[in-house]
Amino acid sequence: MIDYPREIPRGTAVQDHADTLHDSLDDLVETMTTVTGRWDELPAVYQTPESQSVYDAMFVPENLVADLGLVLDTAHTALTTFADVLTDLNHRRPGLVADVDRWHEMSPSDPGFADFEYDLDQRLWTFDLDLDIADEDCERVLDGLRLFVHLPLTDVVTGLSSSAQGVSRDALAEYLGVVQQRAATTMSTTTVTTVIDITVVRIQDIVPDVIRDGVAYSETPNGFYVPTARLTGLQLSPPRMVVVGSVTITSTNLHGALPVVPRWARVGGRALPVLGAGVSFTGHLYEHYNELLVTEPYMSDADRWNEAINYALFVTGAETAGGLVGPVVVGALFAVGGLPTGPGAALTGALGALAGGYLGGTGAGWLAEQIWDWTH
Amino acid sequence: MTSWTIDEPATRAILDAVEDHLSAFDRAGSDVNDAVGELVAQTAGLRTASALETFASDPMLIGLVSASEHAYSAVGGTRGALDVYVAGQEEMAASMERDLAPRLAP
Repeated sequence: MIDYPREIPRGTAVQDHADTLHDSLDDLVETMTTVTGRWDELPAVYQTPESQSVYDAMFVPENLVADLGLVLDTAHTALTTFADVLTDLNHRRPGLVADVDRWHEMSPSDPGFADFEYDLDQRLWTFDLDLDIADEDCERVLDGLRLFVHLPLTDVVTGLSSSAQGVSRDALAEYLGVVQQRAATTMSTTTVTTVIDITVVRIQDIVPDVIRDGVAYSETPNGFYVPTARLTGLQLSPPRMVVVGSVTITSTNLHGALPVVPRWARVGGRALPVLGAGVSFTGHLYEHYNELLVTEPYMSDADRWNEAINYALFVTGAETAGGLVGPVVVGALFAVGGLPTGPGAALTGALGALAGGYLGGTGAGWLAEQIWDWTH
Repeated sequence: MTSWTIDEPATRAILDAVEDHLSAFDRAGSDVNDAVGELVAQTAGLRTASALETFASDPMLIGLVSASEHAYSAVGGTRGALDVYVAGQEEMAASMERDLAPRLAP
């Protein structure tokens, strides 16, 4: 039996949308040039002992946008190649359809039938193969363009809390140091903002650093060990750490007990495995803080926060190590971070909605709404 | 604490102007989303379609959100530091500035 050749997407349509995709950052690239131009005026009017950090603060967005531009160039080239193949296949298809029609009308006893059938079968096979090869080529290029390493929360937390499991003790110390330092810097105001940065790193060289129990691990720039098989890379720039977002926990009342589970987490927490660890972390943090209010009445609030943070990190680690499979840190970040206020206001726009949709599924979008309600 | 020199109106003017431009991140995110959506619809059932969906998230959307976060933080953090300097709380202002330093791996 000979089947008709598959329907093929129109190459011109794919090409048109690939062109649109390619142009999607044009406005942004131009804007970033304007932005960095204005930002570079700061040294003339703003000089302080630490102002170099301010002057440098646009480097990350500038470089990221530039990298995304390069990524789009590569994606566009792949899609164009794919579109060309689709156009070619669409040219070949009517002839194949006509020949399959003809094959249906023939009888095996007709002269030349066997040769005709063999030839047609070969051409159909080649037609399918050409589509599959082009499709896989395009897929491979697109997959290779990932810039971010998705660290499952379990890996991050394991990396943090478990020297017993042979992963980075230094990373733990460093991480907690960062946490404490950041907590301390924001402790002096009446509004406590405890910021836990969870980082998503980009990796240039994917080389196993250690083999443990038959599994290859690579050390990320911030000292975590993650299974090498999970890493993808792109030779764009030196490896660097990008802080994608943060889990921000705020309380406007430093001296009172905190709600054990934030309002936004009450309903969503259980139903959303992606967010489970973040919610769990928050719950433990608040819970332990409240305990310390009672058990350590003379402890300073800064110390109380630090201890609560450490406690929550470890407890959450223990809980998530066994339970969560798959959720990635970036997913948790956008949904859990109390980002709609302050500097993170960008996330409440279309971009925020998209991030919620892509990264956390519809549940994260729902939760993002709750966060919005919570913070307004 | 060593000395500082700030032209407050000029600094604020720069920060305001920069912030006005940052909605371009939102537009870029929408445009990427729309274009990828069309491409996915066109290539439905093929491997390229699912690769495109991943691509829209990583690197495009995560990158855009990350860049956007940093850019807004740069403006907000600097504005915060400026406020605190103007209020005379220099140690806190310096600490806020240090927080803005890009976290680059060695």
